[in-house]
Amino acid sequence: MAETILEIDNLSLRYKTKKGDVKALNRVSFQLEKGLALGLVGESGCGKTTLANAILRLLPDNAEITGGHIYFDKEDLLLLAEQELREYRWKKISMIFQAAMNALAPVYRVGDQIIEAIQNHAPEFTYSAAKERVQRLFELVGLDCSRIDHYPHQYSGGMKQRAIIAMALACDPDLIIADEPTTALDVIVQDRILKRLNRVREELGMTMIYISHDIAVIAELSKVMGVMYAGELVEFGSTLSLFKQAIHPYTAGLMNSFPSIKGAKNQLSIIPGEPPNLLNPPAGCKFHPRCQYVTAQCRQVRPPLYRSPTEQQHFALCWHPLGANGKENDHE
Amino acid sequence: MNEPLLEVNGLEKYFSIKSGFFRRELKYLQAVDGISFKIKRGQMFGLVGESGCGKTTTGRLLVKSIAPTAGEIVFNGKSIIELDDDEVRDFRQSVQMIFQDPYQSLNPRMTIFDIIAEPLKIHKIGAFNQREELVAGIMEKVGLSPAASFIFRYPHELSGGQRQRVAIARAMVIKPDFIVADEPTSMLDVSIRTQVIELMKKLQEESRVSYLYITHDLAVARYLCTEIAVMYLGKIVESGEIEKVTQNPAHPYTQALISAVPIPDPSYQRESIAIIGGVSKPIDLLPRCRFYDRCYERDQHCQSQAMPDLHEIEEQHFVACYQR
Ligand SMILES: Nc1ncnc2c1ncn2[C@@H]1O[C@H](COP(=O)(O)OP(=O)(O)OP(=O)(O)O)[C@@H](O)[C@H]1O
Ligand SMILES: Nc1ncnc2c1ncn2[C@@H]1O[C@H](COP(=O)(O)OP(=O)(O)OP(=O)(O)O)[C@@H](O)[C@H]1O
Ligand SMILES: [Mg+2]
Ligand SMILES: [Mg+2]
Repeated sequence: MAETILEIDNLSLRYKTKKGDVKALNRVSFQLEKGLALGLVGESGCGKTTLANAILRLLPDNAEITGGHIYFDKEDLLLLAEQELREYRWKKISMIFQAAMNALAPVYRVGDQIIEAIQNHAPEFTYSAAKERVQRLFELVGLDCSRIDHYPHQYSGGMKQRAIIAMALACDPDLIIADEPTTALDVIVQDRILKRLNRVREELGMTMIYISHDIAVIAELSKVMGVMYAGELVEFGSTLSLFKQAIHPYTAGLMNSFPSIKGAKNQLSIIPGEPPNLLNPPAGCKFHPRCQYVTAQCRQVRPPLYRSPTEQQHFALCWHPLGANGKENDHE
Repeated sequence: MNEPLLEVNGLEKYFSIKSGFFRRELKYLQAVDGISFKIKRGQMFGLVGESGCGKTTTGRLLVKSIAPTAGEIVFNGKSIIELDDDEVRDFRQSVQMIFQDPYQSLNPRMTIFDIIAEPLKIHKIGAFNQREELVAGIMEKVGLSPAASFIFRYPHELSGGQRQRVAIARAMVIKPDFIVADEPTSMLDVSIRTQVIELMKKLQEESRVSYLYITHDLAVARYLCTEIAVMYLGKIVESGEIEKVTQNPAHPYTQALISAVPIPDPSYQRESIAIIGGVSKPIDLLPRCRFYDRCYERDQHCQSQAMPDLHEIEEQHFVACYQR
């Protein structure tokens, strides 16, 4: 049995706003094995970034964790003081933020920004050691070392993204969290960057959480995947198992929402309606207003965890699991 | 039926830009650089390519929102460049454009009813109560129902998907022959995107309207379109029947582009073709193949010859490459 590096246990979080509480995470639980890549998918506003930020507690002031635990290497991060947590950021867990490529400071050379980041988090690095490290990182992410002394405006979008990845790798973290690192990039550039990121991850034996709304990217990149909906992790398991037999009707619908450039041209399936407002999410199963299998139970009681009969770690929150009791998985 | 609704010949759009230290130097950006294609009646024609290749500029030329530098656009048998005032009015009634960003394309101070009814007003179609009926009818069709619950609302009171439905309703209400849809779903979330894609497909099948569907998402283009053209730096490098181009791409660029599209199937082993560099701006171009610098099959001939023209390599499949 492989070692668990990260365990999220019943995590709940809300944002307090003038209009009321936004229930951004509701009792999220999963375990991630060391060395694996986890893909997190879900539509805008379902809580992906919130979950990522909660792990490092990089949360805005109005956020409040209302329950649960986050264990990293068996240590409960939520019990750590801010000072202690700082030891984890960058060195053990690093993050590539959503839209990070716009975050490079325009007036500083890219190389210097990475050197500064290294020295901030690992003061033992001298300037020249840090500079050497930057060269090594540039090679790793496929950037020409002559670019180290260039300013961000001299970089293309794809190059900026590589620099951001280099920065996230700077202190050799055990876990890297990448929040939509390639949205807004052209497909060829995206492909190159993802390939590179994955190769580096494998070489360095890092664990990764990769956040995306594109199920095709997740399918290719991650061994395990989680599907989020309205603040809940509604399904989790090996990517192969989820694609073979989705349990949650939302997952099944999502998988059939993406046309493919290869293979048979299947009719897309429509999930009617829109995701709920998290100020006032529906009772019971959050997906029930859009679900074709809805019954009275779904409207009232949060679904229990259902485990796949063929894969222990594959589970979903659903009263009417697809594939159970001979019920056909109608995504095909 | 067989004669095309729209025919584009040698279409060019150059933008003049100032560059150099004192911005005194006048240069040309060759956004669209001599493209030709035909769109049949009732067809969904896809225009694909990476950011900056000239897709939106082409769309704007086709709806006459900007004037071409050179070339000809023949719509319904008439060149749209030489139309008189009456004909321009008719033309504006037969073509519509749907934009990427439903937040920006709708007037925030108008109600949903006024937004959708505006083209009817402009083109003096129907008396007021008839307009109400037309608007209500199209709203039901695009899934804004019950219409009564939407008509007095403003764009900011709708979700992104609903706003894009309003934009589609507005484009469809005057029953155009031709719609340019410029990345209409790229800002929408997955489940809403699929709803809008299916809506456009349904409306197209019902009304036999022709579409130029602009997208950078090749999988969506394959799903919706019967023919596509692939652009690279202002040129069409490959075009033809959708399955031929997407399943058996011939141009090195198209091959690389299609090989880079992720496949929503974890058991599929995708091999991508590695190409160097990225897309640049079409300024100061050498008179040769636009893809030369990044091509992995180039040779002496490609270096010294002009940009190759599209030629037919099989029925309904055209490519602009000396190696094919
Ligand atoms: N600082 C905040 N204050 C109040 N609500 C917030 C705040 N940040 C996020 N939210 C809300 O919390 C929910 C989850 O947001 P989050 O950013 O985690 O979603 P996401 O899944 O990352 O979406 P996207 O795909 O758009 O990035 C949303 O409803 C969002 O509006
Ligand atoms: N008004 C303008 N003045 C100068 N250059 C322009 C103008 N409009 C577009 N361009 C340039 O023309 C080229 C083609 O732009 P266009 O918007 O048509 O590309 P696109 O294929 O639609 O890209 P995207 O996928 O990013 O929308 C780009 O290099 C762009 O910067
Ligand atoms: Mg996010
Ligand atoms: Mg465009």
